[in-house]
Amino acid sequence: MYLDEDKIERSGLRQGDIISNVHLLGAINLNAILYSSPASSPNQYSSWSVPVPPKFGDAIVLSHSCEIALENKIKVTSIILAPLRDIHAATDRSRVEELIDSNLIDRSHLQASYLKYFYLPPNIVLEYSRGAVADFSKCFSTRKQSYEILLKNKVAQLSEDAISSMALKLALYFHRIDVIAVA
Amino acid sequence: MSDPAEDFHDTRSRSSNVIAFPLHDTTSSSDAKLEALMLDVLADPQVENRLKGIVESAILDAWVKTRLFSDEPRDDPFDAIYVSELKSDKIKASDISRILLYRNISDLSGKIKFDDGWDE
Repeated sequence: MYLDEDKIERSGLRQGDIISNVHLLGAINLNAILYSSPASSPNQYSSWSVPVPPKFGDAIVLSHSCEIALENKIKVTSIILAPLRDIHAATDRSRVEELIDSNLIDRSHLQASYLKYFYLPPNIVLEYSRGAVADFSKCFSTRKQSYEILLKNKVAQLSEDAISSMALKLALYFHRIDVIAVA
Repeated sequence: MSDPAEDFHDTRSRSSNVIAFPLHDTTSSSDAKLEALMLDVLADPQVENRLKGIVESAILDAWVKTRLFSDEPRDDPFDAIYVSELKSDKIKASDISRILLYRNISDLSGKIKFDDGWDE
């Protein structure tokens, strides 16, 4: 699923790149944001803060490679990321096995899958001994000025096949027919 | 102390550059002829193309000046200009077919929970 170390593109970001130790901004609690206003303009917010420690962790690039290609400067306005979650934190082990088995939906034409998550197997540069999942429901974006920071923290890159499988799952996560999952 | 009424005066106006716009029909027979002549000239495809070229050049000139000589940085990803400059993405029929093939798939995501604080 991952490219070998010597095949990783170091000069640019691509869809499916794993970024290590980045500030994870997904799933922000809007109720927890504190807004400040200057005394002269009480109706205008000048700054905001969140009174909790920042959460740092790993993330995967969801933006299409074309969208963030440096040579395509017009399109590079922001980079979409999804945080990785340690599969070890899953509360039901049997579900984990089911999730892993149904991960690559394009390989076995499945009728059901865990569309919100894309499973990433263990990798020597990542700390997840049993693998991790990219959580599409907690995606966020950073501005293009963050490009260098993200590139500097790029530690792994998915293969073309894996990127295609992830993109399909991401598309279906939003596009699937709205049916309540069977409990 | 100044008269508040003076605040409503346009102090930039000068009698020499104020154009008194007539509110009644001022068209005379000579004006009508001139107007008809102008319309005839403008209806000429060659003149129309020439005028079109002049307008397009002016727009291009303004665009180049804005893009190349403007000191204003354009780094706002929510700026409408980014949208205006985008080109449509090509969509392959095979990609759509591939997604539609799985559109009836059931999502089991709700069956799994993670004890890592993200879902609180």
